Amino acid sequence: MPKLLAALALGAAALLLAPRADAAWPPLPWLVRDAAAPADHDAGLWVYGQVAAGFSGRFADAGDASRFDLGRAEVGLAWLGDAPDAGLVLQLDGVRSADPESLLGVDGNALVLTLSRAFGVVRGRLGDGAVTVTGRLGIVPDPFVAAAEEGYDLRAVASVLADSGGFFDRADLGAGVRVGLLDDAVTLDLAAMNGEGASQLELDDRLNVHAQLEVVPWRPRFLGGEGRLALVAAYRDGTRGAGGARDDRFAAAVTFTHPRLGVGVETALAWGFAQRGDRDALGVAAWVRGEIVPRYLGLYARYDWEDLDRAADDAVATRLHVGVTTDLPAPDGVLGRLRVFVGYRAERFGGSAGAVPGVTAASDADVVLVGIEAVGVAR
Amino acid sequence: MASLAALTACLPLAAGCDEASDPRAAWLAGTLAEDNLPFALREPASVLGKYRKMAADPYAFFRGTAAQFARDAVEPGGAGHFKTAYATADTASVLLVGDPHPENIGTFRPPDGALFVDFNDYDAARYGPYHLDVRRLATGFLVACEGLGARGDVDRDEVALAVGRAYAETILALAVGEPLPSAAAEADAGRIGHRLLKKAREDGQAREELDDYTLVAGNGRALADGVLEPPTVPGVVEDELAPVTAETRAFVDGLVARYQASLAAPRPAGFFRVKDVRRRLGAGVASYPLWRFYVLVEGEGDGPDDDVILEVKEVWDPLALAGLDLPRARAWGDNGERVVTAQRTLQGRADADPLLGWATAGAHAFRVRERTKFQRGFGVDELREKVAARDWRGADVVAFARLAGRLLAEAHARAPRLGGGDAATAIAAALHGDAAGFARETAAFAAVYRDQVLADHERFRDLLARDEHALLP
Repeated sequence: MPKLLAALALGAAALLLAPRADAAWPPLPWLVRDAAAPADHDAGLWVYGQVAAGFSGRFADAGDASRFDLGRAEVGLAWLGDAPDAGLVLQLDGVRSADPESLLGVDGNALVLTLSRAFGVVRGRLGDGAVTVTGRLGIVPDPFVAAAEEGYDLRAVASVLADSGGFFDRADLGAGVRVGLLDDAVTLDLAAMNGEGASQLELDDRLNVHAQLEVVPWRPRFLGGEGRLALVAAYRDGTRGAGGARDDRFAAAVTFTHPRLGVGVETALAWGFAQRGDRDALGVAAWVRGEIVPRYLGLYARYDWEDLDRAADDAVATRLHVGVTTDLPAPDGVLGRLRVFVGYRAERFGGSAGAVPGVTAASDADVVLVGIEAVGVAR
Repeated sequence: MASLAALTACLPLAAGCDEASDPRAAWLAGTLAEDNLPFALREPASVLGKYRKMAADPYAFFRGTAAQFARDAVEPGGAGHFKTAYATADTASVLLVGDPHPENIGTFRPPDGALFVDFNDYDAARYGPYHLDVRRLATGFLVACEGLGARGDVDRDEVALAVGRAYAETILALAVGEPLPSAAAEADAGRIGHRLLKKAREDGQAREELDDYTLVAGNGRALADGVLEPPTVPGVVEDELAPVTAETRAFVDGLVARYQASLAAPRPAGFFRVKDVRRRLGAGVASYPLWRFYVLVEGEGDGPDDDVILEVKEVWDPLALAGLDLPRARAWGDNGERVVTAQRTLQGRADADPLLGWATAGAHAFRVRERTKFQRGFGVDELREKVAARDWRGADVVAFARLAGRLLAEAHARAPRLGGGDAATAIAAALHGDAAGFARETAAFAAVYRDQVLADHERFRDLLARDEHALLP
C-alpha cells in the first residue's frame, strides 16, 4: 500500500506541474498506417517516432514488484513522393533482446533495434481519382492492427486488442493491395503474408491471406477538429508453425475518433491460437478517451475481455485500464506532443485462464503506472 | 472463405497438409521445430539425430518433449492444463528442478566419500509452481513403466501414487521441522537405489571413465577418438568422441580458465592444465544437439593416473512457462550460473560435485562438472531388464518412486521461494495436510498425460516417417 500511495502521489504531482499545452493536436498516425500520402500531406522525407516509458508498481499475491519499463520506442523514416505517387517506409523498434524469463539476450538483456517495418508503396488513381489503388511490398503493417490503431491514441498505455491479445502480429513480410472508393470512404484490403510475424523465421511454407473491408461513413467537424466514424471487418485465412497449425481470424472494430475524444469497440475471434489449431479464442475490448479540459486533463478507460480457450469453462481473462493524462507542447517544427499519464490496471483471470489453473490468485494483479509518452512527426 | 483455404492449401512446398487435420500433430511439429530451431540452423544433423532418438522409444520421446509438457501444463487449451486443489499464489514461485524424471536421478560422491542419490540434471531449473515438478516426475515413472509391457508385477497406479504421497508426506514433515533422515542416504535408498550406489562405488573406484574415454600412450594420457559404442538406433550417435579444431580447442581452453572462478572451493595451480579436448557426441536426448566437450586435465599430480575428465556442456534457457508473470524472474546472470547455483542449492550436499562450475563465452553458457563414474545415472533400460529378469519386483519400483518423491520434496524445501519465504511452509499450507488427496490428484494427472505422451509419440513417428526433414527450417 505505501508503494501504491507513493505512485499515486507522484502521478498527481506530475499532473499539477505539467505546463499548459497550447498547440492543437491533430490525429497523427496516418504515417503509421500507410505511407501513401493523403492529399493533405506534403511529399518529402518525414521522420516520425513514439517513445513511451514508465514506472509501474505491480501488486499481486504472487509477489509485489516495481520497475521502469520502456513500453514502446519507435522511430521511422518515410519518403513520400508525388510524381510518381510512391513512398518508402523504414521503421525501427527498440525491444528487449530477451523474453522476460530468458537469459539468452544480447549483452544481458540489452535493448536492441529491430527493423519492424520496411516497405515500398505505390499508388495509382483510376477515372477521375475517385478510385485509388495502393500496393505495398515488404515488411508491412498488419492491415487490421493498423486500422484499429487509427485514432486510438492510447498505444502508450496498451496496444490494441488485436496486438496485445496475440491475435495478430503488428507486421509481417508480405504484400498487400488496397482499393479505395469514394475518397477512401470505402476501402478494401487484400494482403498475403508469411504468417509468422516480422520478427520470426518463417517455418510455415503457406501464406496467410487477409481480406478486410473498412467503411468511413461520417466525418463530422466539431470542437475544432474532424471526427471519423469507421467500421472495419477482417478475415484471415492463416496457418502458423512448421506443422501448419490453423491460425484463422475474424476481427472487427467500430470506432469514432476525434482529436479530443474517441470511443471504440474491437473484437477478435481466433480459430487456432498459439499454434494449437483446435484452440479457439475470443476477445472483446472497449475503450474511451477524452479531453475533459483540453490539453490539461484527459481521461481514458479500456476494458478487455478475453476467452482464452472457448472449450474450457472458465478461461476468461479481463483487464481494466483507467487513467488520466496531461499534454505538454511539442517543440517548434514538430507535429507532436509530450504526454504524462497516470493509470491503474486490474488484471483478473478465471480458473482456467492462468498459468496455474485453479489458482486465480497466482495470476491476478493490480498495477499502478506513471508514464510519459513522446510522439511526433517532422519533415 | 473455403476458397481462400483452397488457395492457401495449394501454396505449401513441404509436408504439413496432413497435420492440419490433426491439430495436435500440427502443434507438436510446430513447437518442436521452434524449440530446436537454433540447433537446426547450426547443425541440422544433430537435430535429426535427436528426433530419431525420440522416435525410437516413448521414454526418449518423453525426455525430448519437456518443453511441450511445460506448454501443456500452463497454457489454456493445453493437454495438461488441469486445475489443482493443492496450490496457492505462494507455491507458484518455488525453485524447481525443472525436469525431474527417473533418468535424471543418479549418484554423487562429495569429498568425504559419502555416496548419495539425488537429481542430477538441473538444466531446466527455474522458479515456478511446485506441482509441475511433481507431475512431471510421476508422469516419467508411468512412461518408464509403460516399457515394461506385461513383464513383472509392477502396479503402475501404485507407482504414480507413491511419488505424490512421498512428496507430500515429506513436505508436511519438513514444514513442521520434523527431523527426517535424508532420502538420499544409502540406508534408505531401496533396492534400486542400492544398485545405483553399488555400481557407482565399483566403477568410480576403478576410475572406469578413464578406461572408457582415454588412452595411455608412452608417459601421457589422451582422450580417445572415434566411436566408443556403436549406434543402436540407425542415424543416432550412441557414444563418440570427435577431435576438435585448433579454434575450438582455444575456445574450450578459455572456458576452462574462466570456469575456475565459479568453483565453490579453489584447486591447486596446475590442476586444470588442459591436456586434451574432444567433442562428445551422442549423450542426452533433449540435450543431444548441444555442444558438449570432454576435457582431460592434469588433476592433483603430474602423472597420468590422477588425470580428471571434465564435461563442459552448453546450457540454454529453462522451460518457458507462458503467462506466469513472476517478479524478478531473471534471478541469475546467465544460464550457467542458473544451472549450477540451482544444483548446489537443491541437492542434498552443496559439495556433491566439487568440480561443478560454469563459464560463458559471449552468448553461450556452459556448465562444467566432473565426468566420473561415481556419478551414475538411473536407466530405464536397466529397469526393463531387471524387472523382466525378476531381479526387481513391483515393490522395488514403488520404493524407487517413493524415493524420488522424497528427493524432490527435500529439494524444493531447501531453497527459499523467489522473493523470499520458506517453500516447504508454503507448499504444506497448500496441501492442507491431505497427502493422500494430493497423491491421487498427481496420479490422475500422470495417467492422463502418460496416455498423451504415448499418443504423441505415435504422431511424432508418423511425422518423421512421412518426412523427417519437415521439422527443420
